Amino acid sequence: MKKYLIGLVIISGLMFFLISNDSDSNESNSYKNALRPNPIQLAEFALGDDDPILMVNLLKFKDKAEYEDGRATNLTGREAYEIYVTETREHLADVGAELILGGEVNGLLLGEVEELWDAFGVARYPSRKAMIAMARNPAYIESEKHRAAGLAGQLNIEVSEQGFGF
Amino acid sequence: MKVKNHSRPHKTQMDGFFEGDTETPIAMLNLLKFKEKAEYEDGRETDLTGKEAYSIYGQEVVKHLAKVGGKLVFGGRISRLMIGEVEDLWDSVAIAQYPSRKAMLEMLMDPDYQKSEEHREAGLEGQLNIEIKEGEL
Repeated sequence: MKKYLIGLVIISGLMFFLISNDSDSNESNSYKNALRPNPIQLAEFALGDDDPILMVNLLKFKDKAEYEDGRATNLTGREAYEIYVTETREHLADVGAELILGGEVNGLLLGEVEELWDAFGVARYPSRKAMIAMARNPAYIESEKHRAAGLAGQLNIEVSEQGFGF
Repeated sequence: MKVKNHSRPHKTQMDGFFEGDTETPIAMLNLLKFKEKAEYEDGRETDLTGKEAYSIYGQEVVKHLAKVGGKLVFGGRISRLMIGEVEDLWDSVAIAQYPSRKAMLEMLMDPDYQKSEEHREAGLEGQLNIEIKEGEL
């Protein structure tokens, strides 16, 4: 009986997959959230032009915050990240950058992702140099500990705002 | 992890959209992947690229958004990923704000909007459309 039920669950799972895999979808491709840029990403970033850039962040939080220095904490991942955001508003302002949009991810109306992100934020920097200056500021590096504690991973998408560019 | 771009919602996604809060402001984050060459559903000849066809839609949709009290907050070309990996990176990103889900639906039902949509479908290979509740973050 139990086997039969498991079979049924598998079959209905397959059915769901087949139905959702409709003709409008293109091939699925894989993605990976990460906490920090890899060396190639850093190098490419540094070599880019010096126009204003937008950074679109798609964020996935840890259930419970974990600080890299091992300190005890009762914060959730989201709470730790919120400390980072509050502090980072100032660090952004110091280099002429700002958070232009942010909030909760409610759901997907189009497309599918295996694990939906929790939140998003868009920051605008006057230049790449400004972003590098922020990242090197010791006060920012201190705030970033809360980011690393709270964040399971993210996509950080660099966007050029030149000409509204569709 | 897997990600799949679509150009139309599933029935379950549409149903979910009408459940819950349809009255408060939302933003829609679009991650767009274009076809190399535009293909119109009516089979007309065209030399447009997918991106060019979608740009026609993009320009027209600004007016449709205004009619229902929405607006395009920003749009731009994706240069690269700074953090994380995606096998097939999207081409562009656009964020639209709507006063409510209801307003968005009103736009989608407008025959003028539906006319503009032919350019969207001609140019778009697929997308993620992520509903966002703007807040403190």
